[in-house]
This record gives sequence, C-alpha cells and structure tokens, in this order.
Amino acid sequence: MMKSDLDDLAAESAQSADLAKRTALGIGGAIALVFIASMIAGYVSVVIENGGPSLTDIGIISAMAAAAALVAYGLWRLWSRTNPAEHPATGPGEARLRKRQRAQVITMVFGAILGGAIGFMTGFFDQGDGNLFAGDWDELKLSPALSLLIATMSVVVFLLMPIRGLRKADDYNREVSLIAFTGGWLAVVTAFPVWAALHAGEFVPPPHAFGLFAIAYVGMLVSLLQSRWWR
Amino acid sequence: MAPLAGPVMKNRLKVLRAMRDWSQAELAGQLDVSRQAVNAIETGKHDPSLPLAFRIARLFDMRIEEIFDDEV
Repeated sequence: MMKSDLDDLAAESAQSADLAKRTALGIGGAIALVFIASMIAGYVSVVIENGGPSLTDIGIISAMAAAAALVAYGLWRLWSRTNPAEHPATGPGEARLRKRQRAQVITMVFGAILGGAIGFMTGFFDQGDGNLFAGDWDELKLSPALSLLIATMSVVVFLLMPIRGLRKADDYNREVSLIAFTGGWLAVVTAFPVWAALHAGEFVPPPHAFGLFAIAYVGMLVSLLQSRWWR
Repeated sequence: MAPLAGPVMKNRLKVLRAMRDWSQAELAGQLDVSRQAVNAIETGKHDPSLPLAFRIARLFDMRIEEIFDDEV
C-alpha cells in the first residue's frame, strides 16, 4: 500500500472518529441537559403549587442549575475544535488512542441514554401524586414490571458501569474517578448531619433520600472537575 | 496546597517526547493510556504507577530514574 493511501485511510478514520465523538457528545449532552431542565421545571411547578420557595427549595434548584452548568462546561471542554482531516493520526500510537477514545464515548452515550431513560420513565409513567424531591414515597406508584425494569437499569447505570469504568480506566483517570467518588461520599456524610441539625433548628424540612442522592452527585461532579482541571 | 494524591515527582517526559517529535496523543497510544494521563504526568499533576513508569522507561529505552526525579 502506498503512503498516500495510508494517509487517506488515517484521515478517513480520524474524521469518522471525530464525527462519532461529536454525535455522541451531542446526543448524550442533549439528553443530560433535557433531563436536568425537566427536573428543574417539574420542581419549580411543584414549588409554585405549594405556595412559594423555601430555603431548601432554593438550595435544590441552585444545585440542579449548577449540575446543568457543569454538564454544559464539560461539553464545551470535550468538544473537538480542530478538523481531524487536517491532523490525521501521525503514528500507530494516535490510531490506537482514537480507538480507545471511541470505546469511551460509546460507553458514555450508553450511560447517558440509560440514565435519561430512567428519568423519563420515572416521570412519565408515574401513576401517583408523589414527588421525589418532597420525599413522599408512599405516593410514588409504578407498575411492578416497570419498577423492576427501572431498578435493574439503575443497578447497571449506578453500580456496574462505574465499576467497569474503573477497571478499564488508566492510572490517571482511575485516580480522578476515585477522588470524585470520595467527594460524593464526603458530601453525603457532611450533608446529612448538617441537614438534620438545621431541621432540628426548624430552618429546613427533614432530610430525605433523594436530596442526599442529589447532593452526592453534585459533590461528585465538583470533585471530578476540581481534580481534572483545577488542581 | 499539596495535591490530594500526594507529592508529585519531576520528570523529563515532555523533553523525551519532543526529541522524538511525538504528540501527546501518539505517546499516550504507545503507552496505552489516555492523552489526559500523559498531559497530567508532564505538567506534574499526576505520578504514574510503577507498571506505567516501567512501560515509559522501556519505551524510551532508559532507566526509570533517568526519567523521573523524586527530589521534589
């Protein structure tokens, strides 16, 4: 095979990898942002129905807005700004790296689609009057089959995929992930007693599981960004 | 403030890479790690594990202590 043929192949491969990455980021980012935006809209409508925001409501809405901003910032950082056709892979190392990146992007999109599907099904097929943020669990109603499906998907998204990610990651990304997980854990073990104390002082409503889940996620995202870009 | 993951060693990775005219992506692919990992090692934000340090040394045909300096 001539060198020019190899260059063409490398350029073509780089272009298709970049297109796959942009498509994946576009779809995954859009799903994540729509999911967070619908959560904010749903929460705001419940707050309005209940006669105005409390301090906790403002905190939760701010946390969700921060999560949306972090997703947007992550998209902006990851979006490719160069034309790969002008910068084809220069050696076997770059070609191997692009294959690795493609696998990572596919995993990210799969996770985003599953996560988005869980959020959509939970909201769209809920047959009760419950609200995740209010902690009125007895009012949340799903059909048994759907509840089993969502529970199974949650195990895949929140347990199996992170474990698989840790096993596949290189040293650096494993370190960053472990710092993020530690940040999420510290956020929860700090937030619960603080929330409980503030509730005892009648500043906020009692702690509930979904609020702590959201705090863990924001703690994880902030720790991830800090360890990846700001240290 | 000290980094969360502990002190970081100085290294000559960037110089060695430049001598071979490799991009970070090329070196990352040769080492089977992400480009971010190479960047983090070069900028002193991350110490490689011992297996990765050996892979780096083998790739450049040098001893580990010729690439990494633990006197921070």
